Amino acid sequence: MSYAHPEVLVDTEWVSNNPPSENRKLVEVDYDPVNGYQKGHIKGASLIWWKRDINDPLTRDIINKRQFEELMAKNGITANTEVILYGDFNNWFAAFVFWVFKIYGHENLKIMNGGRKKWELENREYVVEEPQLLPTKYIAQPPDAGLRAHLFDVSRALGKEDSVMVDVRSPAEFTGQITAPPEYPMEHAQRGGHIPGANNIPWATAVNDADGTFKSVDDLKANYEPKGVTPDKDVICYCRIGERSSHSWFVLKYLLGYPKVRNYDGSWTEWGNMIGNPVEK
Amino acid sequence: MEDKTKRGLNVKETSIDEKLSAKADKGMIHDMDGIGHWVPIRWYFPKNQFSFEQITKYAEDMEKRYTALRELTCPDDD
Repeated sequence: MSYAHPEVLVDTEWVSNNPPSENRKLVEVDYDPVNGYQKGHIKGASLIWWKRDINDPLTRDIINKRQFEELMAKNGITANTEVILYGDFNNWFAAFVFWVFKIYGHENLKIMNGGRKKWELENREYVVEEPQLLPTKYIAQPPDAGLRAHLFDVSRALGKEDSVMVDVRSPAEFTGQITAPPEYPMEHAQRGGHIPGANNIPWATAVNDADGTFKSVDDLKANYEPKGVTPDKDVICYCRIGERSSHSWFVLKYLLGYPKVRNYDGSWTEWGNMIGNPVEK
Repeated sequence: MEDKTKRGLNVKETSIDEKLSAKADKGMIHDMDGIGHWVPIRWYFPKNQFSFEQITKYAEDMEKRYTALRELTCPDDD
């Protein structure tokens, strides 16, 4: 059985054989570009730095439509360009950027299965030269609010039997043993635990350990359905800052074809810091 | 010598810490922008190269740095 939308995935071999061109752009999305893109990237790839480029520099929010259009123009992308995303940290941030592209209506969009991890395991070539891109004019669509869950959406979904919450963090985060690993001191919350009623299905259960590629449809179904995460529900995914949950959002929406899946990008750093929010351990 | 503020951090590599010229277990901490920085967690000083006084001085310097940091963030905290 194939994925519901196989057109959103390409493999490393395909990327090797199909370099960027006028109508095809390759974009590396990094959380840590100093230890990623700047040390080496796939030839012809431009960079989207998650923190600097896809988030508003002042307010905690994703960039708005105008900022998105400017980012696309800078990266030489038009509304008709085929864009292939890949990145560090198992494609978490590439999936987040995929989600933002979809919010602003970009159609022809793919993820390189396995990201930097698989590319490196295969000892494929990196370069340090950055591509020279001609600026474009990009017209985005109005934001698709149906892909994003805000705090009030999550509050409203609490206890509803036709909604299901997927907490994709590690079991230690889910149970409140930790709020963030020590490597990420900026991502802690005042309370540990999870949103009441949420299912703990860590993002990693959707990928193959060896190379970070997505599991088969049958394996993915076996991962979600027994826990009540089924296509007939309104599904909300969350993690700590919304990047791992966009990875699971991608799996549920594009690989399994669930009709209603939203990413709660405020995630635990919002929920676990708000006064009065209910918490379960 | 161990920096206890780094406890719990995973050791990602063991290599020479250029600042103290000693072998050190190092981990990575990501800052607000997501950039990872290598930080020493514990140092291994060979007895034939370092005196106890020298290492005590390093430990005191580390303590002073953290005291100054605490002063900066919680000036009224005695």
